[in-house]
Amino acid sequence: MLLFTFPGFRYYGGVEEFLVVAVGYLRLAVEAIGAAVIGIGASATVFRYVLSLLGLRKYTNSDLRLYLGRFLALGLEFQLASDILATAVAPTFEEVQLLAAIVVIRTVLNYFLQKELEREQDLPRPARDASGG
Amino acid sequence: MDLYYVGLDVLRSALLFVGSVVIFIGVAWAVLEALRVGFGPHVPRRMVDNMALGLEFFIGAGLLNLIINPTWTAVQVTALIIVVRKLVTISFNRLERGSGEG
Repeated sequence: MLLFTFPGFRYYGGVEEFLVVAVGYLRLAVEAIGAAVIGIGASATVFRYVLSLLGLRKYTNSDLRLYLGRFLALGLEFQLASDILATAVAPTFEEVQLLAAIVVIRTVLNYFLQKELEREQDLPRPARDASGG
Repeated sequence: MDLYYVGLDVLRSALLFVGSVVIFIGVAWAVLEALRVGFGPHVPRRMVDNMALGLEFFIGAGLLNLIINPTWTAVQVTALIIVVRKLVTISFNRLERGSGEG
């Protein structure tokens, strides 16, 4: 067996144990990226909201919801990916059930968000063009 | 690892706070408009519009809560937020259609 020296790794007797640890870290990384995407989207939306409150930009609340919705949808994709990775290493049936419920919630939300984004993009928005926002 | 979850918790709290502020601003603005211009369809429309935006932030907080606290309660709360958001969006679309026809 090869001994790896990157942080967090301890030598185990089998490949399976190594995979459980590796998938755990991978899941954490993907989950963190998803959370970061949500955080960045929320911060950018707040910035735009403040600009529109101050009258410096003409963003409607629908524009802002669409903008934040895109980030939430992308963050959700990362969360779903981390959930799929988690099912690979979930040790008990109860944990699998909980993961399944979380996946369903996230998938349903993603579906609604995508539908709204498609609908908003299909609508004619002359006001958005005029404001340049 | 603790720092990671503390950071997520701070972000979640910030999203809840921002969503609450957005809803409050919408209600306050609608009340001021009603006092200034008089009550009309624009008043509930502004409130619902801001509620819908505030709920988007609540959904973001709910998603982060599912990471921090993956429990059945968190799943139910997030599901309820999604349902409420959908109802608010439907209400807003009806108000928009109503003001367009009226």
